[in-house]
Parts: sequence; structure tokens; C-alpha cells
Amino acid sequence: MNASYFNKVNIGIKTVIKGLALSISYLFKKPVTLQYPHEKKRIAQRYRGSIRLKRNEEGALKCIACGSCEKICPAGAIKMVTVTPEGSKKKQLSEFYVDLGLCIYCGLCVDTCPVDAIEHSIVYEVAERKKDGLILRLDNLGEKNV
Amino acid sequence: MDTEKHVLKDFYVNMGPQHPSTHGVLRIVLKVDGEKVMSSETVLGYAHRGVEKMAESKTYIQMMPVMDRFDYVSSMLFEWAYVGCMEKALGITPPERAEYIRVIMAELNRIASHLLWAGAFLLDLGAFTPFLWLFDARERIMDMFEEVTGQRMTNNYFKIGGVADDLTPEFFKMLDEFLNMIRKRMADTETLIESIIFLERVKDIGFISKEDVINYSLTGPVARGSGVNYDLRKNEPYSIYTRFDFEIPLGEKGDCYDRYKVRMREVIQSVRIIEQAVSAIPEGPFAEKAPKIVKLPEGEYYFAVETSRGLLGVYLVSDGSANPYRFKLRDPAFSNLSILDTMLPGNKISDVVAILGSIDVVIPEIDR
Amino acid sequence: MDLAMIADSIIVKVILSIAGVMIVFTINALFATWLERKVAGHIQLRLGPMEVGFHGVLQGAADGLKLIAKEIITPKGVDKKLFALAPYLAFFPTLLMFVVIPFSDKLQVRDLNIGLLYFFSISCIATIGIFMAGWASNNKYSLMGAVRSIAQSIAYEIPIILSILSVVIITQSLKLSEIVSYQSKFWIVLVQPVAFVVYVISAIAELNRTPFDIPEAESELVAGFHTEYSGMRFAVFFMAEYTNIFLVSAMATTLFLGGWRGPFFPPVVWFFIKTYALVFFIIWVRWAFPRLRPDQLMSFCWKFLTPVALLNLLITTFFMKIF
Repeated sequence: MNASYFNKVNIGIKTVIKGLALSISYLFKKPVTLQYPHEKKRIAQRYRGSIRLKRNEEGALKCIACGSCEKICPAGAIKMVTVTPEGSKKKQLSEFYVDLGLCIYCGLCVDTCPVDAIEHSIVYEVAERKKDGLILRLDNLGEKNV
Repeated sequence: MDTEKHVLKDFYVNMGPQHPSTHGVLRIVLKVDGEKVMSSETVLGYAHRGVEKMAESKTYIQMMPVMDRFDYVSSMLFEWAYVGCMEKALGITPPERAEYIRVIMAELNRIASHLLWAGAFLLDLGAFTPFLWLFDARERIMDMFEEVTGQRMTNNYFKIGGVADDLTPEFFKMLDEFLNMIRKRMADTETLIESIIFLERVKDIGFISKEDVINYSLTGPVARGSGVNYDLRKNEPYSIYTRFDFEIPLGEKGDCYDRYKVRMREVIQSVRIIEQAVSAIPEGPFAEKAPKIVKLPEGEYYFAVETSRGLLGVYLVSDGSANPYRFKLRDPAFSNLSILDTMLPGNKISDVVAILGSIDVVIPEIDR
Repeated sequence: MDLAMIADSIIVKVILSIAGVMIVFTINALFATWLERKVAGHIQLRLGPMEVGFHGVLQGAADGLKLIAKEIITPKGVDKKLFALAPYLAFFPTLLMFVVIPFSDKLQVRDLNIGLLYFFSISCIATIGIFMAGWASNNKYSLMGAVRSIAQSIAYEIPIILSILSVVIITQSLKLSEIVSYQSKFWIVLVQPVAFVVYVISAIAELNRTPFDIPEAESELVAGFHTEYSGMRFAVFFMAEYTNIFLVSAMATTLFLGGWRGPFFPPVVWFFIKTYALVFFIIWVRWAFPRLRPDQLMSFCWKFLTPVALLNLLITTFFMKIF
């Protein structure tokens, strides 16, 4: 039995009491929990949620079917099918797939689009029961992304 | 009686790849004698994805989101190293405001990383409460990231020549709130945690000598915990770190407690940097004009930053095409982990958790 | 037979006792788990369970149902008989320990002459169940957890017994009803504060709870002795733990805090108030501290608690001799 033993006991008792007092003081603080399905967090405007195609004032898709987004997508989540109608030189979008199961929500497609036709919505609840549901098509791109 | 026959020889315990305290898929094979560790072997590669090879078939821009996915807890620091390397090659200097934004975001990310580390480290030691106290603070940082960058963890915010978007007024409000609470929360956590039990657990175990730091090329808090004053922000200042007044916390003995203390004090230093940066941030553009299709001129380029775990170097070899010819990371956690096998023998099984925790590894960064 | 005789008959008494014990046991298991999760939640700035029932009071019942519905998995390579038996061996002593607890002046299953001795002897049996679980699991983590558990239980029995011996020397009885009636004027904690503190610390260690939870240290041994258990067998271990918390708190109440005695409220209410105050304390300690290392745990017991308890016993004996 030496001085360091009693010193240790002394430190021990002090720190234990301090810890107990501090933890009980937190018992009465306001919890920070959000009860998720009932109350939802404010989502930032810049939030990168699921992909959607933009429309212009007339309601037509802004997309010019250039394929930049398909090319730059690091995960290969975007697939684009284009047709060139007879008599016109411009390509047109006939089908557009986004596989949310592959999408890494990086925003490169949005950055690269030359006509600002694609954007991230702030929809983050994209869970589905089947893998098929994760593939967004041209016809459900609008309805899924409110 | 022949008792030797009954002695349990070579009792091996597998820690990992599925184990609550290895934080990922690290596997440590421990040869134990009762509670005592006789020798250990670290097995890597469970999260190997071959990213360095993959980079050769991706364009420079396409690699940017991948940079977030090495060390997912300090992703923007990794982005900085990569973006910095490309900027060096292209000869682009980001505008003033972008530099300040980068510093603010990087330091916030450093704090977030250290908070996560501290929480997980204490959780390994059996203390659950500080984990959530610190996570509350970290969650505020994540909210700020979401506000500015659009994503909580894999931010993809740094761009060649600047950043993706400007800071918002809402961000400054949140930052103010955060800076007001973080010092108190850190002090509270330290008071709660530094009870005799914690001190007994982490003091005088897991020594790393100064010589070993240099021999194993350890960096970051692990090196600084042993008293090696090496921080890239001071030693080879990049960006605008020379303008800020901050200290490099150093440990004395190089045990687990020193490494813990160094990180806790680094958080406060990062808070100081952020405060200075916020008060000095100039108006102006947040990004320089950058080429849409990036092609680095032929040559070899290297850029290093100080991440929350140590020195991160990005080495790019370009042959002038749109894809890198070679992409190599010098990442801190891999080097830091290399010393583990020499530290463990002689300690108890419970200490393995503390020592591994004090080194602070992120597995995807090591396995790449 | 008239009613009085029926009430007196031994079979009815046994059935009533079993029913009573089961009711207390069930309600405690539900309430203590709820209390633990709530206290943990609020200390950590969370809310804890909120969904099932008012502020989640029925969460325990929901969890119980889920565990009952789960398949009982017997992993490959285990000693099947011991593996199946172990949880119940760890659990039944807790029911037996209820026998001597005086809930009030009338409510006591059996007022044994050696109640105190009985209580602490029975509590030792649970250790066998824990070791059996660890051994039968055929898992290194489980085995190490079990070995740690044995070492810990044996070590901490000693300060517990020494601390209650000081009480016994004052009250001159091992009968729990007499110990309570001795405290009609003052609580024993007032004359034996050191014994009380030693008892509570050792009791937490006996319960394998943080900061002394090395047998199930989740970050080192995954879950210790119950790593391989799932479903109802796990639930039995779990219930045994929470019943044990209640039991050691009830015993502390009886020995140190005047048992069921108290003004205004009926004795049973006082008993539960005091007991749950202690249960709350044990829960609170768990969420405030990290865990010790096994060797530190041992040295804390042998180098600090045991000498203190021994010294306390010596001083108590000395004073009892003088006065």
C-alpha cells in the first residue's frame, strides 16, 4: 500500500461521481430524435435525390438526346434510346432508363447536361419491394418524382 | 502426472471479418494464451475492389465520385487530394473564396471524422453514451453538408478550379449553431469519459516509439500521438493554411491515451480554423472556369493533403489521353495499420480492441 | 371445508405463491427493460421506444412475442443437451430467489430462518448455467465469456458476503423479516454506508453489467456466453438478467433501506419504490461508464473491495462488542 494506491482511489471516486452527475444532467435535456415516419426532416434544396427529366413551359422534355449523361455516368445507371424521325436530322428521345439500384447520386449527369434538362429531385424515399421498381422509365419518371 | 499433454496449445481467436469491433471487414487472427495475446496476423482484402485499376478505364471526371468512397467518413479531404493533383497538372488556381470554402468544408469533415472515431472508440471500450452525444454533433455537420453539397457523406463537392456550389446563408446559420455547441459537447464528453475506468483502459498500452513512427511511415494522429510533429498543414502548407493560427497537438508517450487526446484536441483546433476562415471569407466567384473534358498533359503528378488519418497522396501518371495511365493512392490508414501486428503481442484481448480503435482505420481505404 | 381452511391448505398456498411470483417476474421483466431503454435513450439525447403503447411501454411485450415466434436454432457442433438446458439453469434460480423476498410484512412466500444465506446460495447456481452455455456452444467467444464469468462471480461473491455479514452482525439474524423489523427506527444504510456501497458495486459486478460486463463484452467477445443463442433461449437469458437486477435491488432494499417500511403508502408500494430506485441507479451506471478489463476487474475486487469490506466488518464487530 503506497501513496499511488490511495491517489488512484481518490481519483476514481472523484471521476466516477463526476461522470454520474454529468450523465444524469443529460437525462433532462431535450432529445434530438426525429420520429422519422411521423415527422420528416427538412430536406436541403440542393439535396441529390432520384433523377428526373425537366420539362419546358410547354410540357415537352428539354432533353435533346445527346447522350452526355449516359456517357459520363460512372455507375452506368443511365440508358438512353434515341430515334431519328424521318425527315428530321435531330435525334429524339424514345426511351430513358435510370436504374436507381446502380445510381450513386453523384450529380455528374446534372453537371454535364448541356441544356439543363436533367436534375436531382429531393425525393429520398426510393425503396422498392422489387428490383424492377427501381428502374425509372420515361413514363414513370414524372410520377415517381413528385 | 503428465500435465503437458493437457495444455491448450495454439488457441486461435478470429477477430473479424465479422466482428463488432473491427468496423468493417478487417480480420485479425490472434494466437492467445488465456487472455493474453501471443501473436497476431492482420488479414486484409475483404473489401478489395481494384479501384486503382478501375481508374485506368474511367475518365478523370468519372473518378471524382469514386474518391468519396475510399474513406467515406472524410470524403471531402480525399476529393481535395485528387482535385488538387489535377489542378496542379492543369495549372489552375482556384479563386480565393473557393479556397476558403474548401478549408471550411475540409475542417468540418475532419471534425466529423474525429467525432465518429471518438464515438466508435469509446463504444469499443463499452461506453455507449458518448457515442450518441458525439453523433448528435456529427449529425449537425452532416446536415450542413447536405445543405451545401447536396449529400451527407459522398459529397462530390470539390471540382477542378473550385467547388460545385456556393455556401448558403442557411449554412452559416447552422455553422454558427454548431460552433456554439461543439466546445461544450467536447468538454462534457471528456468529463464523462475520463473516469478512472477509461484511464486505466487506455493508459500505458499500445506504445509506438518515435523510431517506429518513422520506420513504419505512420502519419496523422497516430504519429503525432507519439510526439512526432508532422502535419502537412504546417510542414508543407497547401492551399491557404499558412493564413490560419492553429496548433498541432502532440502526445508524449505514444500510448492509446495520447492518440485519443491528440484527436480530441485536434477537433478544437479545427474549430479554431473554421472560426478564422468564416470571419475572413472574401466575396467572389466560387469556381474558376474548368475544361469540360479533362485531359492532363503528359507527365507524373503528385499532390498530398493531411486527412483526419494522416498523409494522403494522390499520384497520377498521364499519357495525355482522357483516362489516367496510372492512379495510385498513398493512404494513411494502410501504413498506420501496418504497425498493429508488432503492438498486439503481450497485451490482453480487451486491449486489442482499444489498440485497434486508437489507430483508427477505415477498411475500404486500406483495401481499395 | 370452509374458506379459511382452503386458504390454509398447502396446495393453495403454493399455487398462490407461484402465481404471485410469476406476476411480479413478468411485470418486472417488461418494466425493467422499458425503463432501461428509456433511461438509456434520454441520457443519450434520444427518446427510446415510442411506438408500441404509450411511450413504448408495451415494447417489451412486442419484443417477447417476436422472440417466441423465432425459430430455435441449434448450431452445428454444439453439445445439444447442455445447450438446451443452460438457459433454464441460469433462469430458475431467479424464480427460487423470490421465495424469501419480503414484499411487505405479510407478503412473503416463505420466511426462512436462513433466508439471507438461502438467497445468496441459490444465486450462485446461475453461474453454472452461464458456464454451461459457454461450454456447450462450441464457440471460442462463448467459452472465453463463460470463463470470465466464473472468475468474476467467484471473486465478487466475497465482498458481497462480507458486506452483508456486517448487516447480520448488527441485526443478529439471518431471517429477512427480522432484519426488516430491526430497521423500524433507522435504516441500516445509515450505520453501514460502506457496506451498502460495497454491496451495490459487487451486485452490479455479479449481474455482469457495465462497467463489469466482461463476460458479454460485445466489442471483444461479440456477445460472450450467449453468442450462439437466439429466439426464446436468448430471451430466457435476457429475462434472467433483468430479474436478477430486480432481485439484488430488492435484497439491498431489505438489508439496507428498511425494506417495506415507510410512511403514508402501503408497505408494498414502499418496497417497490425503493427497489426501483436502485434498479434505476444500476441502469444509470451502465450508461455512464465504459467497461473494465478482466485483470483490472479482478484487482479491483481483490485489492480494493475485499479489503474495504473486511475492514468494515472488523470495525462493525469491534463496535458491536463495545456497545
